[in-house]
Amino acid sequence: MNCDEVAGLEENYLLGDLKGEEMREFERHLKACLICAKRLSGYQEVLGLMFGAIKPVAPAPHVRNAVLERVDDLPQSPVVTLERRRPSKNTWSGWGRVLSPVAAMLVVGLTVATVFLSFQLQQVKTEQAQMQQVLDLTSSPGSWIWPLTQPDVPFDATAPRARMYARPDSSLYLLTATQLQPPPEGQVYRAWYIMNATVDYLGDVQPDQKGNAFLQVPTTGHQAAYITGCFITKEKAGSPPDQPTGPKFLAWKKN
Amino acid sequence: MDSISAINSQEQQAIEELVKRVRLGDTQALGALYDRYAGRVYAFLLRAVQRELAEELLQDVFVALWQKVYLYDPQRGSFNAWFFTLVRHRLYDALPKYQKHQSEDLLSVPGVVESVAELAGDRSDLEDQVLRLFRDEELRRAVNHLPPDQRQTIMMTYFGGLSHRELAEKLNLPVSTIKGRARLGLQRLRQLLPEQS
Repeated sequence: MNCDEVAGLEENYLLGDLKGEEMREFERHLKACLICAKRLSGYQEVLGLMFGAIKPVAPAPHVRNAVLERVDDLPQSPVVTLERRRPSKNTWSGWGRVLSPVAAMLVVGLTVATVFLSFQLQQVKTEQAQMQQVLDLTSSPGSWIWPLTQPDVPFDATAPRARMYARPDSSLYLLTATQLQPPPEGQVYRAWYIMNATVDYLGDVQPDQKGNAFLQVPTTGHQAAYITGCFITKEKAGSPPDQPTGPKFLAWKKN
Repeated sequence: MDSISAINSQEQQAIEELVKRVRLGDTQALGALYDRYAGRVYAFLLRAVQRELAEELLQDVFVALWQKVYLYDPQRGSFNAWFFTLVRHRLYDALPKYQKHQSEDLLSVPGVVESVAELAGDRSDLEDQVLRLFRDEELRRAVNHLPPDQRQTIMMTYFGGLSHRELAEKLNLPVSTIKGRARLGLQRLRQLLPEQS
């Protein structure tokens, strides 16, 4: 699901109308795409606010009574009734031997399913924690935001650019880029940072179809304060990311 | 004067509590939600349809709230946003059936202006009329700061009773343009409005 499709479905999502795979795809996209997550959050907030600010006009009193009368016997959600037939003693004794192995297999199946679901739940929790880290990093006033631009090129709103987010106490570096053309055949965009006069590899930057890229890099050192520059180069695809060889395509340098 | 932040966190909590009770089948809680929201829903509906039809839709909206409240998930957004989206969808679903372009003089109802159909000839006047729907000066100011095309789209599609498609046809533009303007307008509004507590 892409950003346009997500934008087209956001009201259905808000209403709870999305089901099954569509819902999963929508939520998967939201987890991966900060732009859509932020837009949706802002969208619902503004609409809620505007609705709250409407000047009320009192309806006729009979409408309230009519509503309460109509809902009096109305079910609130689809109710599924399971009718269970109690098996007769004779039937059970006849089927018992067949059903026992089936029951055993069911128990095994349920155990496997439980383990699988626990694993899935753990994954979701991990993803949520990562998402929270990203949000903290991008929204905290204590974060540094370093703009990477094309060196020696006058400002152009349509030119490729990137941002690196870092914070002294965060265990994450984040790099976002926009308006990136796909790299030339056989090449990749590669991000680097400079710390204590040493260049280190940050990660490969892979633009999507719209030219946006998003790179999260976990870090353990809490040494963001020592970063004095970061840049993106074009490198040969598949080459070891030891040292940059290409010219700086986008760069930021501490003054 | 009412502040744009009038619905504070305490009020939100009270609403969430009522919603929980409605989920459990408590009709008194539904009555309490009705008392809080009916005036705003009714004012909104009167922008698009006649009084009689607005009353009918008002009933439908609260019956739909009763039936669909289990779909509301606070993780996805506020109750206000969920409910307002529900209201708008009910209105759009109902408009063809209710023949929205039948209009009568609604000016006799306090706080109500002409229907969309009557005012469609004068766009800026209609936008002004829709703006008067809001009691909050801060919000009106923010809306007025939007670029004209975005303001028009938001006022007409979210509050003026027109769907994106209808406005697109009226302006002879692609639906995607209208949707894009609405999206940008809401993003801009979010920046113009103060943070909520």
